[in-house]
Amino acid sequence: MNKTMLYTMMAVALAATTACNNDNYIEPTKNWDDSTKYFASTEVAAFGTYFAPSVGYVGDPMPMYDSKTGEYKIYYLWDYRGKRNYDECYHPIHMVTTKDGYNFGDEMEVLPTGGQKDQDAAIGTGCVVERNGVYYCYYTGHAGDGSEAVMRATSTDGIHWSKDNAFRIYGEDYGYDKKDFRDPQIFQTEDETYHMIIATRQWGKGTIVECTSKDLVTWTNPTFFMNMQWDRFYECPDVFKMGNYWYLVYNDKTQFMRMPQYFKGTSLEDLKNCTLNDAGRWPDNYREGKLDGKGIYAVKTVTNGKERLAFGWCPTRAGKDTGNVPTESEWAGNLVCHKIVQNADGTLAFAPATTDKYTKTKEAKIIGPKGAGYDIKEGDHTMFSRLMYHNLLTFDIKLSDPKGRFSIDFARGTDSEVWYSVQVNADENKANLEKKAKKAEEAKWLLDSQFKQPEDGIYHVTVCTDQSVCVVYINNELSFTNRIYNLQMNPWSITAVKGDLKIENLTFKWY
Amino acid sequence: MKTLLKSIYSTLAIMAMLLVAASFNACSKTDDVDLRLQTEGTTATATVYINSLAIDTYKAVIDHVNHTITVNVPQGYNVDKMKITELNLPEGATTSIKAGETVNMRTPITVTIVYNGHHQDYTLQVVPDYVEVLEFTLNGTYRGFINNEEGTIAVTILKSEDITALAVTMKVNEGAVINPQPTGTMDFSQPREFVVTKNTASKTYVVTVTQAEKGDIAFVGSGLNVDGIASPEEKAAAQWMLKNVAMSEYISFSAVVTGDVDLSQYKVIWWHHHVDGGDNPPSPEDANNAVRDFMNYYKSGGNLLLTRYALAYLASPEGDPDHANIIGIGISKDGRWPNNSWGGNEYAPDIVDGPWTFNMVEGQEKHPIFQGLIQGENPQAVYCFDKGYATTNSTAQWHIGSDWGGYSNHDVWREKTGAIDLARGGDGAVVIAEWPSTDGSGKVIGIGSGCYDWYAHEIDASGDKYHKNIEIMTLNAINYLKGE
Repeated sequence: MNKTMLYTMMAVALAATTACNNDNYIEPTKNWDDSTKYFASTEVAAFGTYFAPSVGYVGDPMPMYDSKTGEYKIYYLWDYRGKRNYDECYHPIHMVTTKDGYNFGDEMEVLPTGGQKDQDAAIGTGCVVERNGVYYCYYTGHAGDGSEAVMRATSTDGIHWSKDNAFRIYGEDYGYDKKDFRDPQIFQTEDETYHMIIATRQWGKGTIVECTSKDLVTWTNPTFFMNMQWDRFYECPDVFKMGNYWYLVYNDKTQFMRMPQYFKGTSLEDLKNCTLNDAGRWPDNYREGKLDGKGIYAVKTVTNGKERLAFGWCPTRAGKDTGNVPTESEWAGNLVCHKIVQNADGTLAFAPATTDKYTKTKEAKIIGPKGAGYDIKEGDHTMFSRLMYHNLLTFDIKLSDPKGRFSIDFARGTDSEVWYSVQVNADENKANLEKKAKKAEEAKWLLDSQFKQPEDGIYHVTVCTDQSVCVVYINNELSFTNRIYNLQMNPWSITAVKGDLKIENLTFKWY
Repeated sequence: MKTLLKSIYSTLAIMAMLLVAASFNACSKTDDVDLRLQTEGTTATATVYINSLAIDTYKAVIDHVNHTITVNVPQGYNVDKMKITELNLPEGATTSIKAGETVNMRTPITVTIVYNGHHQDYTLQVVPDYVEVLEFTLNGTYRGFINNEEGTIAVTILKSEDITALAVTMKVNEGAVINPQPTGTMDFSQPREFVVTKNTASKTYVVTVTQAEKGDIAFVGSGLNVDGIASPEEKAAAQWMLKNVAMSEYISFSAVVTGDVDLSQYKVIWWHHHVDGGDNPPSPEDANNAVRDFMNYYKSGGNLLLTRYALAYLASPEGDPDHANIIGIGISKDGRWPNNSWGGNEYAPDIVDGPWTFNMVEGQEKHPIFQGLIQGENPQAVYCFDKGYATTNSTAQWHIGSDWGGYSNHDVWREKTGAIDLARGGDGAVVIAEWPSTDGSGKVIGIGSGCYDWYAHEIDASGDKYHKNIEIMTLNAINYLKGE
């Protein structure tokens, strides 16, 4: 065991000890499932579903499917969360393997940053593609002066890499931006041509350019591929074909829209036309291609030929304060995997990649308030026994008013002054993350995500949690990833906010 | 994790050279620490040296203390595709680059040498040799205008000075040497040559000194004299120039109008105009009445530095098509002055809570007006003043965008105005522009950024770590305009 890891474990142990001194401490062995008070839980267990390295956090994932080993290799920018100076080196590429997006092998550093003066003093997102036994990693080199270039490393096993000291693509050489020229991603068309798309600007306008190659070695000069809409900048753009449609999945850098989104086209040309002259041709008419909320970023997709998975990171929040909004989240967090569901009309949604991991079953016991049950009147709530560290909840909500509102409340004890809720406002076609409080003036809206409401008022809800990471899936229409601290080991509740509701088919699994 | 990497390295030591070289990079930082520990703890000194290296046959200078490998090449040499032509290592050592390898040296590369279980990182960089004269001053007063491309330095001194015995102060880039070395006083009655050399680069500079009865640089203002300028902002600018720019003079618009001043004697005229509440403010009446004189001056080759609301002189003599009260001398091709102007009150300024900056347009960083500036954190930004400064944020800039203002993008702006954008605000608005000489006219530099500010009401800005940049930029602009 190395020292860093040892210190981390000691720190975690210390944190756990500190929690014992907290006034909120509840002796776990005594009536644990019946107790209703808030418990200041800590993240003592390793993340089991939404991977995080033993030290540091996960930044931009670069997933690839390795047909040689039959597993996904998830390369990512390792964020050590230290003080970042202007000329400091940061974000080496680490890698972790998985076969299902939920169970992970050992993590390791595979590509270090260069020195302080090197073009890759800091590394930015890229991609890994294998051809004829050679793995090619194209990645962003971000130099100390802020200039960016596409760089290359090669490998014969995807683990041990050799940087190519000769290969560079500088956007400024071709009339594109010197400082925004990043995030190379490769896809292949049916004519076997490889296309490397790169996010950049031309005269300030966000632009995706492409280089093409037949062998992944020699590339054409970058030329225009497609515009970014309005004044937006699309990070980690990812183009792929699924069924009869072509898609661009991208992550809007604009602060208020910082989340994964997508466009779709019936052909590659049709896809490009979605933003031509700021056409804004969204794949849907209600959520501008949003795939989730602001609790997940830098999403890229990968397929093993049978399924397509999406990987992104759920950011941590400064001070472990769930309600610290609108302050921007911290950079990097936990790796979150969703399975991409394609609807008949070509629209996309996120669903759980697998829930097999949650093997143990537990009773979701009603613990209050007095008389509470599965039928809840407007304004009332029903509280359930404590969650574990890694939870899978499934239930159906039947709203009496299809334009009503309900919330799923976390980190809530009977003595809680504040707690956090994922609240569905059917009348507004969206779900919110909200801070709820006994004192009304402390409550506030935090984040939201639009989705299509069921006409029959029935919501099939799946909640996957791994300590503070919480993903709520509804009806294959909504995926809402959030960071909710102290969710684990606390009671939870369902509230009928507007109109009455009925809870059915409630199950509670964990591991 | 690091333990794992170390064990990988042990295994890799017997693997193919390519893999070894690549992987060692991965733990260079870890092993730097180990190396130091071993060196401190024992008498052993790890001799992890690269003996010699050359790229495209240019020999490297290796600094074993700072662990740098520097290769000098001639200025303008293509460094994108170079070959390691020599790599001499201790027997048994390996490196992360190899002889014969092609490297792109536009940015430095970290080279790791591995020897006897030790690692050492070196920074390999290719530095084009260049020479540059940074400053040339005679008698400590007369600053020369330096053209590093042409290799010329022009200085104007008063006739009362002894041109045969002038003290020279000459500063060149680090490592460059001057021949002959300027010492004592020198005779400049004839042009003199100085050869500046650094490694493979060498340039001969010809210094030409001319004498004049009067100065050839003027500040034109609304007061009869400097003390008569009503605006503290304008007065601060004029006072600075008279004190700091050799051979400079103050002239009034009224003297121009009455014909008491002959503008043709000046190479550069600077006008800095302020009024409170600068929403398309009219110019002083005398400035409007002097339009014909300044038009003749400009068309005959006279250069202008127009700052803040003095940018009104860019407009058509018939008036800006959108603002009839803005009358100029027809510098901008479309007859318009900036489409976006505003400003506060000199006696009720805003106190800023952080440094204010604008950005050099990429590719214009080498423009003479941006040289020698005090740097802040962002290398692309020009820092104008720091937290605590008092500003009116008086601005006259060009909004760029398809939403309003007539300039949908910077290409359109350049086409319509005939100007080159040198600096922009964070939103892309043009805040500094240059109009090159056309048909024998003079050149014009226009500065309209709200960051370009001289007077801070009731604030002592002498300790402001960035405000000196306003002076440096202004002096640069005057010298640049004068030199052509």
